[in-house]
Amino acid sequence: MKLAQNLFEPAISQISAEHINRPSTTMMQDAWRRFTLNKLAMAGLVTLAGLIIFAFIGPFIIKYNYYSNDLMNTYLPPSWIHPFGTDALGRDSMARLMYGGRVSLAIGFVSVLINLSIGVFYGGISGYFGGRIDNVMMRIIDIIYSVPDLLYVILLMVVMGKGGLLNIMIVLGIVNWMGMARIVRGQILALREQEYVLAARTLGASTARLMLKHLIPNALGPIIITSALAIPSAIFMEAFLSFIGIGIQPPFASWGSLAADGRLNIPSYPYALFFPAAAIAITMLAFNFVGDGLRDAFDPKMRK
Amino acid sequence: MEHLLEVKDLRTSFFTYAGEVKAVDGVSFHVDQGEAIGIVGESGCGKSVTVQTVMRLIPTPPGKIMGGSINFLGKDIVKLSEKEMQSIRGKEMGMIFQDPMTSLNPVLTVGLQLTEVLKQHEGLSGQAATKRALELLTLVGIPNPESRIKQYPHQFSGGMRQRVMIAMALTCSPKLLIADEPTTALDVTIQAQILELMRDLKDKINTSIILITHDLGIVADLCSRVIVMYGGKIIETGNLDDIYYHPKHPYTWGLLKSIPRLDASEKGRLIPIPGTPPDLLNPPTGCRFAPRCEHCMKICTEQMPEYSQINDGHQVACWLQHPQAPKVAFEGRG
Amino acid sequence: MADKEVVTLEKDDTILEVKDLVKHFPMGGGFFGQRQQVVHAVNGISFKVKKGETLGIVGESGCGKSTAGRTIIRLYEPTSGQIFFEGQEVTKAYGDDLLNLRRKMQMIFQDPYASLNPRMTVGDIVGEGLDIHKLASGQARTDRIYELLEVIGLNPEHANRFPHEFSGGQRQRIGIARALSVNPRLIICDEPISALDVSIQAQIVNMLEELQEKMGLTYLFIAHDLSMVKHISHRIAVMYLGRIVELAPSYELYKNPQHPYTKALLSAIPIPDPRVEATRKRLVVQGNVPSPIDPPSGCYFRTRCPYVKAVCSEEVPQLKELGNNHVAACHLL
Repeated sequence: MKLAQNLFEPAISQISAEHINRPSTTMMQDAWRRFTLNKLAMAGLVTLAGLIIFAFIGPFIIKYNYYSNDLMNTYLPPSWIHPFGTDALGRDSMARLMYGGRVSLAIGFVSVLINLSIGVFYGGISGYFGGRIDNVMMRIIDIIYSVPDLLYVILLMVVMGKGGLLNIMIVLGIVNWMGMARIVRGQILALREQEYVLAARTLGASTARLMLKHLIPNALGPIIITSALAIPSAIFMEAFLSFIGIGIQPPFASWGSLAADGRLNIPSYPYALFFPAAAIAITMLAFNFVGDGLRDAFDPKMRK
Repeated sequence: MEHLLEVKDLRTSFFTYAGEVKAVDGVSFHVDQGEAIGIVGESGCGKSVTVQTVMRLIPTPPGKIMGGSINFLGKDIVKLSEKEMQSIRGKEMGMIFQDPMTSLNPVLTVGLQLTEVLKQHEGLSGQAATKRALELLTLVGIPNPESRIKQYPHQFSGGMRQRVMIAMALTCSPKLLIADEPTTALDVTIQAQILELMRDLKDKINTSIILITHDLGIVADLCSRVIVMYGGKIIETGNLDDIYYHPKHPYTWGLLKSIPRLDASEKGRLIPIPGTPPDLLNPPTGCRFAPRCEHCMKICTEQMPEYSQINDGHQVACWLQHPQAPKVAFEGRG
Repeated sequence: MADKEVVTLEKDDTILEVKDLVKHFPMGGGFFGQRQQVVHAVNGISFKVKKGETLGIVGESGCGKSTAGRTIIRLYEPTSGQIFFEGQEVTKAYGDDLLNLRRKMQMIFQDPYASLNPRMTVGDIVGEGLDIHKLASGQARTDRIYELLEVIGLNPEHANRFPHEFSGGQRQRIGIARALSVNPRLIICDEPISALDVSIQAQIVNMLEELQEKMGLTYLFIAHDLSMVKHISHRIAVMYLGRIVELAPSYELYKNPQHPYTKALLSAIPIPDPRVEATRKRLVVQGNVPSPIDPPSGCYFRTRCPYVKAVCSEEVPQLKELGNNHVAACHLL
C-alpha cells in the first residue's frame, strides 16, 4: 500500500515523558471523592448537618426557651404551636430538645476529642518504642479494661460531683481512650517498618519529627474512623448517665435526661420519651453510616 | 495440522471509574501441540490478562471480553458457559501462578488439594486418588512424598510449593500448561531447579507450555518461540533465533540492549529505553511504542502499524518494515 | 614534592570498613526459662570499601544482605562487631556524632511504592534532609530542591506533587534525590531496582553510574540480580546465610568462581542468549537454604554442597587469600 512519503519522516515524539497529565490530588481529596459517592454515608452526613443546625441554630429561631414554666399547659400533645408538645412543667419540648441537642452533641464531640488526645499520645508512644515499654503499656490497658466502663464512669462522676457539663466531658474522655490507644498503637507498629520511615530515620529525623510528620499523619485514617464511631458511643453513654440521674441535672437538658423524664409517663404521654429517643437513635445511625463511609473511603486497597 | 490453541483478535478491557482500560487490544497467536512459547513484556503490557482471558478467569465486572475468539480443541472458549469452562480448567488446561504463597489453600493439606482435582475431573477417589497424588509428587521431585502429602502448604518452602502447584496443574495430564511468572518470586537457585523440572516434564509428557515472564533469560532456556507484547498488543513474534539475533522491532531491540548479561566482558553502558510504559487509559494514537522510540516517524504517531512477515513465523508490527520507510539496521549481536 | 607523593601513596582510601559484624534478632518466647530463639541474620562479615568504588553484595533471600546494609547504616543496632567510616569507629556513635554520620552515609530503598511518605509533597520529601541538618532554608532551600529534582530528571513543577502521581522509576529517582540532598559520600543501595520494570532498571543504573562519576560517590550495591550487580560493581561479595563466602573483582568472580555456592549461583542465572543457554553446563544445587534460626555447624553451605567433606561440618571456613584480590571461604581451597 503506497502512502504519502512525508509520513516516513522522523518525528519528535509529542508526549513528554516526564509530564504528569492529571491534576494533583492529595489523599484527603481522593478519600473525600470516594466518600461523596457513598449514598448512605452522604445521607448520614446530611442528617448530622441537619441535627447540628437543629441543635445550635434552632434556638435562635424558635421563640420558646428551655426553662420557662407554663403550668397551665403541661403535657400538651404535638400541635402547630408546640410541634413536639410540652413537658411536665409546660416547657416547650422542641426547645428542650434543641438545647438538649446542644449538650448531647457537644459532649459527644468534646469527650471524643479528649479521648483522641490521650489515646493517640499513649498509643503512639507504645507503638513507636515497642518492646518492653509497649508490653507494659498494653498490660496497663488490659488491666483498666477488665473493669466495666460504666463502673468507672459512675465512680468518677460520684467523685467529681455530678452534673457539670465539663465534668461529664472529661469523665467520658478519660474512660474511653483505651480503644483509640490500641488502634493507634497497632497502626504505628505497622507503619514503623515502612521504608519511608526508615528513610527518615536514615536522614537523621528525631523521634518527634517521625511521629508528627510521618507516623501520625499516615495513621489518620483509622484515627478519624474510630473517632467518628466513638461519638455516638459517647452520646449514648451520656444519655445513660442522665437516665440514671448522675448526668445532666434540671433545669438543663440533654437528650438522655429528656428521655429519663419521659420514661415516667409512657402510657399516657409517650411523646416525652419518643422524641428524645428518636433523636438519639437517628444521631447514632447517622454517625455509624458516616463512620462506615469513612472506613471505605480511606481503604487504600480500593484506591484506583 | 490444526493448532492446539488459536487466539484471534482478542480484546479484553477493564471498566474503571476513570474509563476503559484496554488491557488486551487485538491479540492473535497460536500454540501447537508439544511446543513451549514464551510471552514476554513488562508490567502492564497485557500478557497476564491475555492468558487469564484464555482461562476465562477475568472477573466480569470490571473486566469484559470485548471481542475475538479463542479456539481450543475445536471449541471457542469465549462462547462457553462457566460450567463448560470448569470441565476444561484443570483437565485440559492447567495453570501455575506466580505467588506460591497465595495459590494454595492454607487450611487444606496438600494431599487433599491434589485428590480434590482428581476426584472432580478423573473420577478417582480414595486409594486410587492417593496413589496418583503420590506419583505426581514424585514426578515433580518432592522427596518423601508419603509424609509430605499429609502436610499443609505453610510447611513447604517457596520452591516446594511451586512444585506442588506444578503437580496440581499436571494432575489430569492437560494438553496445555499456562505458567504465569512461575519463578519470579523464587530465588535464582530455586528457579533453576524449577526450570529444570519444567524442561524435563516438557520432554516427558509432551504438554504445550505458555510461559509468561519478563525475563528474557528464562525464555531463551525453556521456549522455542517468543511473543513480545507491549501496551496490550503483540509487537513481534518469532522463534528464538529471530527474536534474539535478528529482532526487528525497536522495543525488542531496546530490551535486549538494556539488560545486563552475566557473560558480558567489557564494562559497557546499558542502553535504557527512555520514557515509561504507556497509560492504557489514554493510549497514544498510532503505535503504542512511538513516544519512546528513537526511530519514530510521523506515521507512527498517527496510525497503528500493520503486521509484516519477515519470514516464516517471524512477524513484526512496525512502520519501519514498510517499503517506503528508511532502512534502519540494528547492529548485529553475536 | 617527593614527600607529598609519598604521603599520597600511603594514604588509606578506605571509606568504609566492617569487621566481624554480627546481627541477631531475638524472636518471641524466652519467658519462663525457655531458651529464646534467635534469627542469625548476619554472622560475622568483614570487608573494606574504597572511596569511589562500588562494592556489590549479592545473595538470595535470607542471606542477610539487606540486614547487613541496614545495620551498617545503624537502622539496626549491631549485635557485635565494628564499623569504621573514614577511619573512625562509628559502631556506637550516638547523638551529634550519629547525626554527622547520617550526612555522610545515606541509603536508597527497594520499594518505590513504600519508600516515599504518601502524605508529603515530593519537594518536602527531597527537602527533609536539608531541614533536619539545617543546610538551607527559605529561597536557598527551594533552589536546592529544584536543583536536586533536575539532577534526577524531573522538573521544578513536580515539587508540589504527591508520590502516588509518579511512576515506579520516577519514585525511585526521587528517593535518590532525597539521599543526595545531604551530600553524602557513601550511599548504600538496598535492592534499588528489583521492583522496577526491566526497561526502567537500566535508566536507574545508568543514573547511579553517572552520579558516581560526577560526584565521586561510593556505593554499596545490595541486590539479588547478579547480572546487574556484576555490571555496576567493581568488586562483589557473595553472601550465604549471613556470611561472606567469596569476594572478588566482578569479572574475576564470573570467570573464576571458587566457592561451590558461587558456582551454583552463576550457573543458575539465565542468560538471554539461546545459543549460550543451549550449550551451558548446569550445576543445579538441590535442597533449600537452612533456617537462620538453627544454622548448621561448620560451613553453612555443607547441607547442599556437592563436594562436602567431613571437615566441613567441624570447622567454619575462613576467607582465604587466592591472589588477584580474590578471597573465598571453603575448605576445599
